[in-house]
Order: sequence, then structure tokens, then C-alpha cells
Amino acid sequence: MTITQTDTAVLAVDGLRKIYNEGTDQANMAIDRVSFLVEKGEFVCIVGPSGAGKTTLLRCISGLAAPSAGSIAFEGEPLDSVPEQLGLVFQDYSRSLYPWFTNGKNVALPLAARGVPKSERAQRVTQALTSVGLGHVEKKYPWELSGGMQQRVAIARSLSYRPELLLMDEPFASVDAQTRFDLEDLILKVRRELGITVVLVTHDIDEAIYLSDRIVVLSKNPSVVKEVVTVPLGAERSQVETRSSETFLELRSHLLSLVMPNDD
Amino acid sequence: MSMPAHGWIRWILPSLTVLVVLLFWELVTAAGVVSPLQFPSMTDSLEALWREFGSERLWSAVGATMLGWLIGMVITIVLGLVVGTALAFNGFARRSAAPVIELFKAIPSIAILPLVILVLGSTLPMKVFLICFAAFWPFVIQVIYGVQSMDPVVLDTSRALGVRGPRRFFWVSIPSASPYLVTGMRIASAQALILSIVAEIVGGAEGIGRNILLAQNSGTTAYPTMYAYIIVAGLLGILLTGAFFLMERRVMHWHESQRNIRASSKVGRA
Ligand SMILES: Nc1ncnc2c1ncn2[C@@H]1O[C@H](COP(=O)(O)OP(=O)(O)OP(=O)(O)O)[C@@H](O)[C@H]1O
Ligand SMILES: [Mg+2]
Repeated sequence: MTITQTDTAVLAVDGLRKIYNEGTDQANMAIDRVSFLVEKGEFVCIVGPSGAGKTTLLRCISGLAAPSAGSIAFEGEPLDSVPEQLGLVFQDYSRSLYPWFTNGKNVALPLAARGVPKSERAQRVTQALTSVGLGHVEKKYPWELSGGMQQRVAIARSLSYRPELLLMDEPFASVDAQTRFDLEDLILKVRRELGITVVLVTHDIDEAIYLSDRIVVLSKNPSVVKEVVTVPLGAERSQVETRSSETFLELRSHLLSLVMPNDD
Repeated sequence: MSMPAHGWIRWILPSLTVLVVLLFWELVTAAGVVSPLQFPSMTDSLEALWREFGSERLWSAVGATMLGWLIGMVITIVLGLVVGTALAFNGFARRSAAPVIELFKAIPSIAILPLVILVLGSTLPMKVFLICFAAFWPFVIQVIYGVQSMDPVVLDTSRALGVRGPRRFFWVSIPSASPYLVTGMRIASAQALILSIVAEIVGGAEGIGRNILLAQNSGTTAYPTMYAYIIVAGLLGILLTGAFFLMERRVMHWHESQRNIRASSKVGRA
């Protein structure tokens, strides 16, 4: 991997290491050494086997957890807390949407925290919900919606304040296949319309190829970057055509050979 | 209610039980099993209760007891939330404070009653102090449990969304801990009522308790009145429990345990 244009990158991860319970006898190295760059407007997927440290990596990138070594820069600034311009979508939407608030209030939460006046909030909430294909759910509670709709609300919540960078941790892992395709296309559409940068963690290779411009392949735990794969599929993608294209299938077999554990 | 048959049974059974107990009371006293001097008949007591309901004396006593309860509860809840949350988030402070809390919780409030009367006299502050002492420790422990049991994803979410400070406290910490908080408030309320009445009986502060004592002191003819006030104390307890139950249903309507109730009452209204 060649490091160029470090200063224009939205996200620069350099030599990141994370050891849980460092200094105790239960020390557990989740990430050994991970470095990669994400340029403005890029869609980057991170794939790796279960337990590789993907969630840990995302928590470090978002500023929720402190790395043990190495550095992370967001828009050129070293990270010490969660930046205002960063959106985060958790894998477990049922726990990350607050059940005591309506969907509207959930989406309005980051806006209120950023001092958006009340009069403007309602309009931006509706806008965010519409952009993920939801209308008339403001007054309902998250637990009154289906899983796919709840994840849409969670996405709307992190888009409502128009972040520069959207981080997603296996956002479509717990919905059915059809909803998954819909949500994949939704996130591509949103990204195109808002021009935001997206980093998405997944364990599904097909999903990673379908969505991304580049794929960071992690080894098994403790993780290092095995390879960064460029995806030359262009900007326009469609579930049926893209997934059956020659390039897609080639990338698929290449990535499979990378992640199969006994191919080392 | 959507199911009238069940609604009937829910009301009729307890009412019947109360009726049976009252009849039993009347029979025991009428048959002379116990002397009417020690234990007045049910009819005499209820008659006294009825008389007192019409008098200003009862209502000012109820007012005084409830005022003590209310001030004590407000102080307990505000202080408990602040101290409990601070301790829940600070491991060092919590470990330091734990033995103190356990010790104070173990001291029965009645044990400090003589001391408090000595310092504060038969006053409202005396009553309120006693109530707080009894209600604060169990409540603060519930607050600590509640905040500590917070799902880490809930906390991560609020950090990721940039919700911090007082907003996080009122919008995230409190609602997420609320199942523990309402339990703590119910315990605190029961403690507060008990200590309020104890402070009135033993400490001589104004209220239902003092009227129980006064009736006892004015001789056997006032015994039915004493029982009337004892019944009032019981009724107050039931009323407060009922009020907390209703509040719990309103405030916690979003919680798993209440969602089917919300759904079924929706059907009932439609
Ligand atoms: N809070 C924690 N304390 C200690 N160890 C942890 C903690 N969180 C994760 N780990 C460990 O770090 C390693 C990586 O976990 P992580 O959740 O990041 O993996 P993952 O790639 O997200 O897995 P999955 O695909 O199953 O979600 C695991 O060995 C896990 O046991
Ligand atoms: Mg994970």
C-alpha cells in the first residue's frame, strides 16, 4: 500500500494497534497493525472473518475507543473524541435506537445536541426520514417498526446532521435478503446524493464488492491488513447486472482466496 | 377495558375479601371475644371514620402527613439522582462510598429518632429529615444499579451522536435507568409514609400519627377514632401505591413490560 495525499484524506489510519485489558494478564490483542487511507467521497468496505477486530477498528476510528498505539486522523486532525462531522450506524439497531423516544425524536436528537433551533429540526427530521424512504413514522416508536425500517431510522438519524464521514458496522447483517438489497441500494443512492464518504464493515464479500470503491481485507485476529483491493465497477451499479458481471466474479474469487483461512 | 368479564372479577374478588374481613371483625367484637375497651367494633370505627371525614381535623392531619411525605420525596429523588448517577459513573467514588451507604442503610431510621427530635424538635424539618434518612439509601442504591445496568450500546450511541452533559442525563441516563428508578421510588414512598407517621406518633409532629396518639390518650371513648385514623393511614398507603402504579404505566409505556398493555388499551379505545 502506497501512502499518498495523506493531507487530503478524510480518514488516515496509521499503524493502529488495539490491546484490550492492556498490562493485565488478560491482555488481548484485537488489532495488531492496521493502516489505510480513505479519500473524500470514497466508499470503503472493511471485510474480515468473525472476531477479526472489525468492530474494535470502527470504535477506534469513531473516537469511541482509544487505540493502544498508532494514530488516527480525521480530516487531518488527530482524533480524541467523536467528531461532530462523523456519523455512526451500529450493527444492533434495536439497542441503538432509544425505545423511549419516537422515531422523530430519535432522529432529532443529534440535531438538538448540535444546537439546531427547534423550528428547523422538524423539517430536517422529515427530510432525513424521506431520504431513506420513510414517511409518517415520526410519531411512532422504533419498536413499532420492522427491523429494516428501524435500520432506516438509524441511518436517517446519522444523516440528519449531514456528516462528512459515515461509519457503519455490519448495518445489514440482521435483515432478510430482499431488505438487504434495498438497503444497499439506498445507501448507494444517499451517498451519491449527499456526496459523503462511507466506511462500511461487513463479513459479506459480495456486499463489499457491490458497494465499495476499495476493500480493506483484514486477516484473522489479531488483525493486520492483508490487502487493499480496488473495485473498478464504476459509479452506477445494479443488483442483477453488477453481481453477474465478469469483473465482479473475478474480484469475488480473488477476495475468497484472501479470506479463506487455510489458503495462507 | 377490553375484556369486561376479567374487569369484573378483578374488582369483585378483592372487594369481597374486604367485606369478609370487616364482617369477621364485627362478629368477633359483637360476640365479646375481645373486650370493646381494647378493640372497638367495626361499625363503631367506621362511624368514627365517617364523622372524621366530615371534620376539618382529619383533612389538616392528612395534609400535614402528605406535606412531609412530599418534601421528603422531592429531596430524596433529586439528591438520589444526582448522587447515584455521580457514583455510578465514578468507580473510585463508588467503591469508597459503598461501605458508608451499606452502613447507613442498615441503621433503622427509628434508631436516630431521639437524636433528631433532640436537635430539631417536634417540627416539620424533623419529620422531613427522618423521611429522607429512611428513603434516600434504598433509592440511591436503585439509581446506582439503574445507571450501571445501562446498555453500553446506549451510551456509545449518545457519545456518537454528540449528546452530552445535562442532555445525556435527562434524555439517556434517566430513561434507560427508569425501570430501576420507579422501583426505587415505590420503595422510597412506602418508607417515607411509614417514617412520616412514626415521626408524628413518637416525635409529636403534626399529622395522622399524632391524631392516633391523641385519640389514644383521650380515653376509651375515643378508641374508635384512633382506629379510624389507623384506617386512614392504610388508605393513604394504598392510594400512594396506586398512584405510583399509574405513573409507572404512563411513564414506562415504551418499556417491553408495558407495550402489550399499550397495544390492548389502544384496541379498547378504538
Ligand atoms: N470490550 C472488550 N474487552 C475485551 N476484549 C474485547 C472487547 N471487545 C472485543 N474484544 C475482543 O477483541 C476481538 C475482536 O472483537 P471484535 O468485536 O472487534 O470483532 P469483529 O471483527 O467485530 O467480530 P464480528 O464479526 O463477530 O462482529 C475479539 O477477540 C474479542 O474477544
Ligand atoms: Mg463486530
